[in-house]
Amino acid sequence: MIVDLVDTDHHVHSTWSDDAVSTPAENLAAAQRAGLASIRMVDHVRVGTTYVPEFLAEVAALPRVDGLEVLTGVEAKILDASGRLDVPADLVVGPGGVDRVLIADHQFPGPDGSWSPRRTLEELAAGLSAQDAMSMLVQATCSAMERAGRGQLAHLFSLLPKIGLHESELLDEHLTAIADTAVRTGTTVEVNEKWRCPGPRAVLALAAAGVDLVGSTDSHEASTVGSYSWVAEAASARRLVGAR
Amino acid sequence: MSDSSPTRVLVTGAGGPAGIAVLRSLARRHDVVLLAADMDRYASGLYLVDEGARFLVEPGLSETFVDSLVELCERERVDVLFSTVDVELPRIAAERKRLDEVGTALAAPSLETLEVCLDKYALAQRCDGVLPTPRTELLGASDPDSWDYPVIVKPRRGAGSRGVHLVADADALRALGEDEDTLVQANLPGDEYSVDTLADADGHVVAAVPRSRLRVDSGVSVAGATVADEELEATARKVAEAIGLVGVANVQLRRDAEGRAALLEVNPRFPGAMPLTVAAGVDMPSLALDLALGRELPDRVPFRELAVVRFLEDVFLAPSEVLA
Ligand SMILES: Nc1ncnc2c1ncn2[C@@H]1O[C@H](COP(=O)(O)OP(=O)(O)OP(=O)(O)O)[C@@H](O)[C@H]1O
Ligand SMILES: [Zn+2]
Ligand SMILES: [Zn+2]
Repeated sequence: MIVDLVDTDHHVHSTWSDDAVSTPAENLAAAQRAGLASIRMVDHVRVGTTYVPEFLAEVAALPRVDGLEVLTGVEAKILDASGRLDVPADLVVGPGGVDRVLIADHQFPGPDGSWSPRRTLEELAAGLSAQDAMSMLVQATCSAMERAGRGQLAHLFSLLPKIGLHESELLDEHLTAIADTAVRTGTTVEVNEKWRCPGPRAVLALAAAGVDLVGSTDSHEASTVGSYSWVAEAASARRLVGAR
Repeated sequence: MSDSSPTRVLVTGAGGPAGIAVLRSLARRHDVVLLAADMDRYASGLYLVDEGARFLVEPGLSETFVDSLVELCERERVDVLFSTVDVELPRIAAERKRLDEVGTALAAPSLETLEVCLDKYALAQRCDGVLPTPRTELLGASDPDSWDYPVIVKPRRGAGSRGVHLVADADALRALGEDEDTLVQANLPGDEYSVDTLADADGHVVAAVPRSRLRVDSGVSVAGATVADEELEATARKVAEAIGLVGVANVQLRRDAEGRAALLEVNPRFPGAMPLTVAAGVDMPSLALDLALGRELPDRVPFRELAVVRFLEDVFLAPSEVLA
């Protein structure tokens, strides 16, 4: 069964993320109010994070809601060009652990570790071409998908504006590489309301290649769970592709 | 950051008058997306920004405060951070590099400037000889008979006027003993002024706007007026130069027995009464944002004389919108 993008919210933070304000129970109630078919509870991790088992236990203990699937995830940044992820070494993905690892482009994955936006801008000014920077980012994203096991691309390409680049500079082969790897590794790709990404061209290309797309508010307070405007347009565009 | 993508600005201390003043000033800019943070879910400034841009943070004194703030800035792709909370400021400024690494510029004076302002003894020493500065000594470190009475005794690192009192004579001062964290200061008997001062990246003062506080209620100025007074402006400029100010500080001056404007103290942050300075023609939060973004500031921004009376305002919300 194909669920519509706007009936899913696969990126919802709770108080297990430092600055978020709603508990998993509040987010669940909000998902129910919004009439969602599926919610993924996600919190931020780093290599030193220890709370994951408690977070999973709290989500597992939530009351069941008819017609609402509850999934879990952790969000981690890509650390470098090899696609290493900032996750605890003992993280369990799959049965007994989190359902998916959300792969986040919080920094630019450079060959020698993550680059700050300023460093990236400096490298671009010093001769790194926009094409090569895109290729590094895409390559790192693909490697991260391989490493994650079961991944989800969080706010794909949200980094670009911060480093002076734009999705229009992506080559078709970049999108093909991401789509192929996502299909092969079973990685889902979210269409993110908060960061309004990836854009329509990427969404259509991914959908056409058979990538499993999900909706995402990236919300950290219950009041915004499942609330879409920008994603709703992407969803209708995807419906057109599906109808063809 | 490309010119087309809006600047993401996080303001901490969204519940205080300074935080609200910064939020309201920056809300008028169309190239800015505002995010607000506070430790208190009822902080009113949180509700001046869009739903989804409101964050609860740890208290500024908590051990992991800076770590979690840096992470928040990274995840939210914050371009510029304004901190309006006294206790947070030096801790954040000490980690400016880490913020820089995640792409966040801190709109605050340098750590060196903050430190000299927060230690009123260091500040008096720094300004002595540069501008009229009341004699300032550590308690017990000077001969009580060498002072004109009454004198002021106050904490070396105080805020909110706590622990400030007049001491009537040498015997009373002697009786207070010795304390490195307490200051003895010559009494400045004249009128008091707050001068909102902005210096550019080279330390050049772009504006110094003196305000008289016509009425103060529990430390908050509820009525005031800008005052065009060359001497006050010039004195604040000298203070800014002496402390190496880059950015915004609130210079407090008071007239001495001879009627000269003398140094009282410097609060190295946005004051709650900032809206008056903005309305008088100098939008310091907006200029400070340009400064943090590395943009050129005008050489000088003039202000006009303007008075203000202030009142509490209400933000109405659906009950469900109040952060749970
Ligand atoms: N040398 C002085 N002469 C006269 N009055 C003084 C002197 N020092 C302090 N005061 C009075 O005490 C008040 C508070 O002093 P000061 O500004 O040094 O401390 P503070 O605790 O940092 O104050 P705040 O945070 O409220 O500005 C001043 O506004 C002034 O009214
Ligand atoms: Zn997220
Ligand atoms: Zn993220």
